[in-house]
Amino acid sequence: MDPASLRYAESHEWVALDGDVATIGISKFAVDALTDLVYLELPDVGTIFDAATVFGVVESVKAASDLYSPISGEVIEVNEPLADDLGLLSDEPFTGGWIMKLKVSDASQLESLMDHAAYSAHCESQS
Amino acid sequence: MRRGVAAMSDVMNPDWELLLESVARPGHENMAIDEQLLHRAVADSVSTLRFYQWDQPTVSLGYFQKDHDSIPERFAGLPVVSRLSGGGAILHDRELTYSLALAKSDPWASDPSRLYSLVHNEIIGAFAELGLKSQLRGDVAADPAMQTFLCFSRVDANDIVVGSQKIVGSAQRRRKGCVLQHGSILMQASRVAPEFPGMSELGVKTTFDDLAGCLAERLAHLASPSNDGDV
Repeated sequence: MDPASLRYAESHEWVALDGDVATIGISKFAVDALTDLVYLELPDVGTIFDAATVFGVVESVKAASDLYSPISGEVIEVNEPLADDLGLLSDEPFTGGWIMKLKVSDASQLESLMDHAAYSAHCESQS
Repeated sequence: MRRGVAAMSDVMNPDWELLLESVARPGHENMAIDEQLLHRAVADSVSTLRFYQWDQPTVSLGYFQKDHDSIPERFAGLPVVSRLSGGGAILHDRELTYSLALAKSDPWASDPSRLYSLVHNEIIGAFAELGLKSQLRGDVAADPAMQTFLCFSRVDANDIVVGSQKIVGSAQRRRKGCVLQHGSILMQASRVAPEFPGMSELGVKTTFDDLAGCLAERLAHLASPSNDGDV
């Protein structure tokens, strides 16, 4: 996935939409800010999430952080190997480190998310 | 939630509310209140500093410690609660516990990794006032293979240590830009986990009220938005 072509939530999740399937992960900025990742809680396939609701939790340096679904939809696949190999999330946040795929219910929600330029400015304001 | 609570809001910048709870509570109440404080930070943008105690020895499990079978045999029969925060299990007994729930608008919420050392440095200062020399453990390599069950057996750069003995450990939950950080200050060794000495065994006698009051005053300046954090 090319980071420049993705959409981003303020809470640092990214989305790539292909047809009605959204692939979701967390950005390199978020991974770098979290530092040493030790645990990841993945959602169950079949779960339906509304946009901006918690879909998982990640732990780093004794901090458990909520992850938010940037778009509404039903989980159709999760990246199972990720929970046992968080290095994937650190090393390849936009490719092998994807977290879940959703069958989206309203693709127009994507328009409310940030494009790469806006997200870069958002990260700049936080660093 | 007000039972046993003595408000000391006069000590604090109005941006943080202070709860100093002289009456010890059951573990499930303590965790429910901390969760409520985080909820309040998210929903109402209210930041709170809370000091509290436990009414009996209680095991709290870190968020990812879902397997109750891993609880050591010697803790059998003790109440067990789950924390929102990460990290290892804690045997809460003769300790002062603090929790700090920061709203997203609080200057310190945007840098939660630094919040550990900010708060811990104030605790180190409070210890020094009481004659106890302590320090942050400092740089250590994080090693997931060394994730022992108990927090106080684990090693982290932000631990407060006296010599090599860990006496304070903290953990966080981060939600919607808000942060809940809570931590345990060992005041006296527990009979259930005597391998972890508290302040008393390290030569300093104090009370919950005195220590909490001292910490509240020291932390008050962090609550000021104009403070630049150079502690």
